[in-house]
Amino acid sequence: MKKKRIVCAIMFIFTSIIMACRIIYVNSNVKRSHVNVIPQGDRGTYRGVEYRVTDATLWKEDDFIKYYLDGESTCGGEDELGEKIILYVEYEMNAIDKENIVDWYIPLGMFYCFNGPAMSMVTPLNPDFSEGEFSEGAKLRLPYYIYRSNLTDEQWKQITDRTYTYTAVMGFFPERNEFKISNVKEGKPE
Amino acid sequence: MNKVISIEIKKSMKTKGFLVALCVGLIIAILQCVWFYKNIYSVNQLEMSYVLNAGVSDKLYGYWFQNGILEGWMGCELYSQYNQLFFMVFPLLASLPYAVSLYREFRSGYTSQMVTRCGRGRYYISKFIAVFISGGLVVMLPLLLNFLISACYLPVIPIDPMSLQAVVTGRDMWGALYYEKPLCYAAAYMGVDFVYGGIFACVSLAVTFLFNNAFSILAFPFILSYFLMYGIDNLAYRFQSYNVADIINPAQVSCSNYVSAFVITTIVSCVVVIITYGLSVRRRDIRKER
Repeated sequence: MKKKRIVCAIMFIFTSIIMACRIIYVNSNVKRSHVNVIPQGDRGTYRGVEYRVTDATLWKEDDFIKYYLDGESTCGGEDELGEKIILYVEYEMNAIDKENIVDWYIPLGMFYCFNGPAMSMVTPLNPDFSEGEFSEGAKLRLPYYIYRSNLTDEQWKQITDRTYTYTAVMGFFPERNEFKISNVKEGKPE
Repeated sequence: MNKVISIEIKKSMKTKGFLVALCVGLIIAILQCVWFYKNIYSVNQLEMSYVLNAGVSDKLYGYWFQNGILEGWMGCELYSQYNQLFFMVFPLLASLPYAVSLYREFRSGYTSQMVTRCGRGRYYISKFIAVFISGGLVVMLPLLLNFLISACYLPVIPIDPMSLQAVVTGRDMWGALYYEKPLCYAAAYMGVDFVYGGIFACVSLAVTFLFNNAFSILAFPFILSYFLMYGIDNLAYRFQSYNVADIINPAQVSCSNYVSAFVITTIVSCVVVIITYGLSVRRRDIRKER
């Protein structure tokens, strides 16, 4: 009985050591992206195109639709998600490589969640891109819905007070381009 | 008192029920690890090689995320059926080791022997503690083993919300831990599951004298859990955060758990179980039942 216990203890210690070594190895060989942090107004390159965040404005949904879409809402059936506002971001683009692609789906991170652009509004906001071409210095305009139900009260306050710094991400691996959006203006209909 | 507790705990660990429940839990945990490695992790590694060589016009260019530990841990992994399976049998596993011991000891006359030797209070309290610990251990150990095996191929890194692999939102209970300290999140939920494993096991113990057969006592928490799961989730979903059947799952699948709701539910569950148990054994005649 005693012999059996000793054998079990040795096996347990041996297995624990092997597992510990393996865990240390796995955690020291994590594939990490090279992160490029790009402050608002600076330029960053992704897929052969140089981007720069030129404008960021926080709008009430109704005001935004009146101002940019002549009051015609293109979003339907999303009201059950509750209170929401729109962050409108304008990117300036310049092609720097012959081989290039404009990625319209630029996710915007905030706290522990992220939003993609409201795709139903992207086409009416960017009529210049309908031919698939763009000129130097062209503006890509992306609206992002932000839902209160995804955030805590304190987080929501930071958003509505415009004190929060958002992160628009282009590319995740091996390079991660994080465009910081810190200067957010208040959207006012004229 | 300590001696009686120690005897009861030792007895609870040596039952066939404990062994069976532990084996079932460990088998689910190991199968989940194998499934995840084969179907998710291997594919993820292949994708990495592809993305590294992709041209800028490739659809997948720049789009790859390293699998983190919480993606592969059975508690939060929802790609496979193992999370559902484990948390479905959770109350049954918890009550299997030692919850029917009081019923058996009452029927065999062992209770009267113990009560005359160590006293009524000591015996019942020791029984409660042993049932709680065995029930908690038997559900926590598979989660722990699964975490350790997963950690042998998945790094302990936070989940990127943009990877779309997160199952917990930032405003859920311990959402910040989930995204920033995965190890702490897993440890915290193992603690929660230990406590709820103990509570489920003690539910069986508390209803020992309501039923006349061991199977009913054993199955009671399992059936209760399902009444709560389907009842609250479908009829009173506003109270989902207070549903013990949902609270035990680290993936927080059915609802957003809140710390306040969790604390209230845990305290109320413990109090109800202790009072029911206390009332059921108080002034009960101890005799060999036939």
